[in-house]
Amino acid sequence: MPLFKFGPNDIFYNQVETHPQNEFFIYDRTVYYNNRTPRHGVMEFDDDGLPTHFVKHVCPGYVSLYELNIDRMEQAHDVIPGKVDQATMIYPFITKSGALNAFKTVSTVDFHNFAYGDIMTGSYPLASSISIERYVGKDDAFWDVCGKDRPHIRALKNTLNYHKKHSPYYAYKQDECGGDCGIKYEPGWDKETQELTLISIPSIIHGSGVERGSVDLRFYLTGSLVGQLQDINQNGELIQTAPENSPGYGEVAGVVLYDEGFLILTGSWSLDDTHTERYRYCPEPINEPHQFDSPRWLYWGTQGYNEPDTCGESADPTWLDPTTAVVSSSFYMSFNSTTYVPTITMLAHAKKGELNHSNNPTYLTRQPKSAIMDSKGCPTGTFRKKLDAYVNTREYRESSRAEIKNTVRTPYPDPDGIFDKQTWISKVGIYDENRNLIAIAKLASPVRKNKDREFTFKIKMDF
Amino acid sequence: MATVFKTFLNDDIATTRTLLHEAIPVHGGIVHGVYPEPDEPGKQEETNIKNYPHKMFQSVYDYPYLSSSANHIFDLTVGYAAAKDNDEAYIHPWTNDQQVSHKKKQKIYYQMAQVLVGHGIEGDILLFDEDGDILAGGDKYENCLYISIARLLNKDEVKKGSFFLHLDVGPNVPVSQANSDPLQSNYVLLVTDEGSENDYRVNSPAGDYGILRARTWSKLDSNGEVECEVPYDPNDPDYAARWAASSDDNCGGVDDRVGLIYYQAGVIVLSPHAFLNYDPAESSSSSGSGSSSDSDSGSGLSAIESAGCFGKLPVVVLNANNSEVGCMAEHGEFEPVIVHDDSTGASFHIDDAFRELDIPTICTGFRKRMVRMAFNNTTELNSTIYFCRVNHNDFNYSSNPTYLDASKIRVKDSTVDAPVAYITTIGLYSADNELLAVAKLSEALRKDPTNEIVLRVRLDY
Repeated sequence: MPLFKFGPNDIFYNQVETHPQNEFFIYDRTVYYNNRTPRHGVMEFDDDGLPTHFVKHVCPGYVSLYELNIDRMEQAHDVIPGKVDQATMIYPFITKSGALNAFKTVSTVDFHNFAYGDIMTGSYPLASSISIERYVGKDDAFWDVCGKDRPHIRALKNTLNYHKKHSPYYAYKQDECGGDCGIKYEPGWDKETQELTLISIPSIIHGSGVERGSVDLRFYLTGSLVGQLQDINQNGELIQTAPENSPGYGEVAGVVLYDEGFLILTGSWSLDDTHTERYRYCPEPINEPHQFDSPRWLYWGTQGYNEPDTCGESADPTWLDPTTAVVSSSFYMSFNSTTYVPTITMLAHAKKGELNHSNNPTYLTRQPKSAIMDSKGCPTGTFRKKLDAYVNTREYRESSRAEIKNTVRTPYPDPDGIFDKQTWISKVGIYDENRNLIAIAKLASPVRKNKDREFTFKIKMDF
Repeated sequence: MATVFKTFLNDDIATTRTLLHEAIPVHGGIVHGVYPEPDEPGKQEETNIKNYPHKMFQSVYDYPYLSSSANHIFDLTVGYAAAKDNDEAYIHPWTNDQQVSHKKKQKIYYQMAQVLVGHGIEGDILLFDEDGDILAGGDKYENCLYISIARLLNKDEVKKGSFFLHLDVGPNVPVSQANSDPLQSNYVLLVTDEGSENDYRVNSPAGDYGILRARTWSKLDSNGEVECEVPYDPNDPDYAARWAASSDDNCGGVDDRVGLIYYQAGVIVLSPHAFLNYDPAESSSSSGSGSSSDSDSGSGLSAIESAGCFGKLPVVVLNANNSEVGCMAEHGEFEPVIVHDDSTGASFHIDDAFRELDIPTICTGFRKRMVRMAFNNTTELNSTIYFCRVNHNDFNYSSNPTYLDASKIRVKDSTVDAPVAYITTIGLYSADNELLAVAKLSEALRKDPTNEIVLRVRLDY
């Protein structure tokens, strides 16, 4: 089998930029990710015969990182080696050693409390989904409870101000816009104190970032669209674009941090004055009159509280009556994430006059002993046996009577065509510098190769 | 942009390797019982068992394999050596399908042996050796059941000494182990590679491998709880006393080796000897193909007990009249448990099954005997640690524009004040000053001429 080295212009390193679409739909306390309906497992049931877990062991709308635990029983955590009838979830563990590695969830203090040789365990699945945090404004009666403590917003201060070059709406405080932002916007905001909603998209979903201009937020009331936000200028401003002439049409209701995966909604106008619902759920418990309000962008994603949710996290029973769930509103968000796929493109050349011979046994007309593995001829008798035993001399000898099969096609059924050495290339093997076969590229159909034809095979490998 | 570079010395760079493990329990219900069998009418879309038209192996998933959520857990197959060509039992008026299956089993054996055991000096394929000492010869595994763990679960290798396999070795046809129901089996054998952490073989082209041994034999009550348990421990004085008290010569020299486990390849080679031959003494008609065995298991237990086999591999050896109970002396002198062929309703002892049945059917029978399997996998995390040493006179100044205020150092009020800087970031540069990596500190560190700092930067790959 001939081996050829790739030349300097035969290998290209590239990356493919992809933008897969992501959709979230929130309705009746359930988050649907990419229209996937939650499926229950069949491995375990409670006393009432109801399944106790979802197939992936994550709540609807969540993404499981490794998806290793599929429809398992959640009986116990640690595996007891000798116990017969024990089924648990798959979980990771590290033995503390001199490398000082640990899971990120193990704090420094806990790490130092472990002795060398101790086992530190983690848990699967590692799951993530969008999170929605709502903060009331400084003037709100519940500022101390649900507005004052906003570290996630504060952490974004520098990032927001950095993006002021794209839009003044990014400014953390209006003053930092310098009062000369050039466009009309509501003056006097301060993201430290104003009423706002932060939507966080984890990187397992957005990848290397959200594609600019792809964000689409919708607010539905009883199935009817009452508001849609889009970044039509691709500058990070979420502008209400639908329904036409609706309240707030054309206004900026928030900003998007594309590289970081955050949306901040500040639009406080009513989208429908005729409808009120229990959007405001601070403080708890929530059966308070002030918690009714008209739909606003600030309330996007509000689910309210009600019965024990589908992930088994029970709500306080005192909230059950009357219902406190936001059931007339539904919310939709879609965006394109950005992922980069590194690729290697290799050009394998089959030049003229090369690769016209095959070592395949079917390449020959006759099979018998085309190659012989035998001891060398000279020594005989006892001496030869000793030589075989101690020197192990062997040789590979091809039969002189081997005849290449004539495979040249002719239009006639009987006679052969004029003999020409030709092969059919069906695979290209990629070897490393130590001649280890590391990849095989297969052709959909073999190509005929003779001394007059030449080919270049373009092989692309994604990572 | 840094303007001051320090070159790493040899002592400043260290490499480490951390082993990240995952505990992988495989409950018997996943393997058999919870999901429909592939041949169940109308349930093909719900099965987690994948059979192939080539009938050379069977794949097991943790969920119906047509679902995108399903993960491949392992493959099952069987094989035997060509020595069977000279075995009278294998010269048989086979159907064409059986003949094809016979060849496939041989090819699988040699394919596995070629990869896992390698070639001899003459270029011949070596057979699986019981103790791994190939040069010394010794007994070989000529009949093998293979469990090939999926790479997804095996990762870099199986952690040595972590493999456990519980096998149903009872006399009855296994009942589905559905959901979290108690075990339906009464007699469970633990096969493990414990002790292989420090006792493994390295003479395989596929990496390290260990010896699988039968360890604990348990009898379970109707709730699946262990009723009695017999640990195999030759060093236990009680065990030795029981052993010595036995008057049956056949009880001497019990060999508990039942297979091999190849750690990097993730392949378990299991001998049918693993099926510890539980067969009630009264079951005189239980041998031979096509027979069934559902005798009272309690009497068999007492028979084994009376034969002094507790503490040893509890094996029943039948004499010519199929009436004598003893302990297994050597491999081959046993009456293995049955494999049930659901398609025909017939039951087979495992030797007969190897000969008569096709591979998927044997795999199905074996699968139903798997009560639980567990192992730990290993992922190697390689790290390079760079010790960035900041001496007392290093990095006390900054080239950051904010360090100056009106052309004056912001943190110095007079000429006698010590310079101060705050370290927030470390850049790792290549030999030609290309920035390769950046390490950020969670909080800035004050640096002045009075202190020295060693920053430990770890790069994982």
